[in-house]
Amino acid sequence: MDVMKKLEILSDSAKYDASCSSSGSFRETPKGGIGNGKSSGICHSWSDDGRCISLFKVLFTNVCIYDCAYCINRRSNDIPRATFTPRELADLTIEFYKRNYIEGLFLSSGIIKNPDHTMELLAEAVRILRKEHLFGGYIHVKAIPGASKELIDKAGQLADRISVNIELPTKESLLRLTDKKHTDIFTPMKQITNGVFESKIERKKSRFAPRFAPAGQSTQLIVGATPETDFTIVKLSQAMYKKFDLRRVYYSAFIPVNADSRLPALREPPLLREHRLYQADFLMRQYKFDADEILNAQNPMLDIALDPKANWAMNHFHLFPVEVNKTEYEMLLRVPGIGPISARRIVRARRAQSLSFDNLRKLGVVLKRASFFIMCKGKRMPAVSERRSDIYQLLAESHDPGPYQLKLFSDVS
Amino acid sequence: MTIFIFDGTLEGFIGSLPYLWHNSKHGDKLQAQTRQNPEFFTPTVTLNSELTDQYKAPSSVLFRKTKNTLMHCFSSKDSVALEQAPSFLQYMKMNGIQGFTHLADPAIGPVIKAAKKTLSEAHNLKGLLRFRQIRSVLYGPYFSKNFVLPILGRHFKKRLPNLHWLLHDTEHKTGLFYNGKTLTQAFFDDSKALELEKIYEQAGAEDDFEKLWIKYFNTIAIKERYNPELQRSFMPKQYWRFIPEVAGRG
Repeated sequence: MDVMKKLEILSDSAKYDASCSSSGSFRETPKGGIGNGKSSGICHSWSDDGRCISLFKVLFTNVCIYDCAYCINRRSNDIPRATFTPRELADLTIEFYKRNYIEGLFLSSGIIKNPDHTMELLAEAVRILRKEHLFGGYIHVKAIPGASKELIDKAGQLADRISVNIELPTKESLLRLTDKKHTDIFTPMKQITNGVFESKIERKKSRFAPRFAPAGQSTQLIVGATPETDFTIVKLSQAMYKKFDLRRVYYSAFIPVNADSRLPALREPPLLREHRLYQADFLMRQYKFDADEILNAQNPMLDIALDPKANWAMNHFHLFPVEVNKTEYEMLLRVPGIGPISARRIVRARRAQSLSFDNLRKLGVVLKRASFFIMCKGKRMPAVSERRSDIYQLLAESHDPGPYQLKLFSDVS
Repeated sequence: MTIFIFDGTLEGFIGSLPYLWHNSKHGDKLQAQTRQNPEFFTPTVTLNSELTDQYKAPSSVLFRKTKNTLMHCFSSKDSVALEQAPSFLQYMKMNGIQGFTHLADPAIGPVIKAAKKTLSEAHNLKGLLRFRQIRSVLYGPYFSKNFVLPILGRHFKKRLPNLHWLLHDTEHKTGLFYNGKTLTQAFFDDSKALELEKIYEQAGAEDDFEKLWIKYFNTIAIKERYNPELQRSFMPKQYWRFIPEVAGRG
């Protein structure tokens, strides 16, 4: 099979992985080598679905010994199969990188023969890139659950990020939809956390100590394939951020790629739910929210009409409006329409002058949303409603796609 | 208020900054000779090398940071923001590094905003620029609204230090050639640009890796999530001409 065909099969199989981030790791170009890492990350293209292409996201192989219900590469699927050789993959990455198509490689894989064999092949591809091509670009590699600690360590020492996909939010769902051998996700996650932690300690003693996944680890959850609530998902994410020091949890709206009686029959992937979960996730990571503040057992699903931050503000309406020129940073962060950047700008700019609504606009505050919850110099913005029900309506309307033409044959498949 | 007139070039602009740092006042304006509007009742000072060479650039971090911001502002071609350069310099001199955060001030906000436009386009082009291999040289033509060539030059010098490459800003008809050691500026007239374009097209047709990349690009999208508006909002069409995976889409 030629490389073109392999690439087509293996990129098609890799596209359901949500992560494509190249940020979080700074790496100088090795002497005599090619490529470096920018901590901000760089996007190189955007695919037709609007997702960023920063890394060359591809599977090493789509052959798999497991038969997970939701996975397109499962053993029982009758699809074309292909496998790269480590050198083919490394050479292709370098040629793409030279042309500035990509920032690096995101390597995942189906399980060929056994986890150790697969992990060894992935580590070999990464080794060729780092040691033979002297590649300094970004590498994100998947740790294969069940692979030995030595092999995961070997890959982690060469890669910028190493990750394991948890896929489903509860053990019961994993047992129901995946092979039993494929359910021990937390062991490799813990190994990676320990590796990163030990490496940080060693590098404090000597800057020449080897780095271990300097961009940390991430994971991915499928949303909508199982009946778990958003509350369960958000709580799980928070626990993983705390316990495994994860950099990111990615959420992927379930797209039915297999006909399987264990899976729900969805007409469309729950993209808006996925979007709301990302917003809730950002609130936990960047806005210092706790999972219990966003959702609770009585109200376990995120409001589809309103983003979680606006929803929180509506539920704590008695705390608003706040005076922008006096309120502390943490409270500014909780105002809809004010993000971490504009909150920081406000705190700095108000040292020099008392801020007006016009000033706030220049600082990047989204007044369309924030104006309901703030005051400047003791006054509310003119002609802004103060009634809770009106505000809810106005905030919800900004997400409403508006009227649209119905399709005559939309129900016919 | 005094209006300072400089020659309109980047060199002239950089050369005038030490003079303005020492001699201008808050509220003064800076204009390029080419953009000068006749103002009969305002005193004007024409900045030439005889005048500006008398002043040495301060070695402070503050001046360097201020100069860099103003250089990015100059690259953005935002003449309204650039007019504020003397006020910006004086504000920074008075307030120090903290001054950069006072975005609500009319002398600071527009300059920083214009500088950010340049930096933002440079960041986008670090990803969107594409090279094609022409013999032993990687040739990367691109379109940009702001003059971001020096920023891209520094970026690729760090990234591809052992390769030979040529960046070509087709809008500003300027290029940077890197021979594995040093960067050299090049200027392209229309006939040279046309000649290069032909070689570039031919190199694209012969490059197997480009075909592989286009295949990859077409495969990686999930059809259930198809969202071309979102794609265009991140990757505006004005850049598509030199991005092979979308160049043929019109």
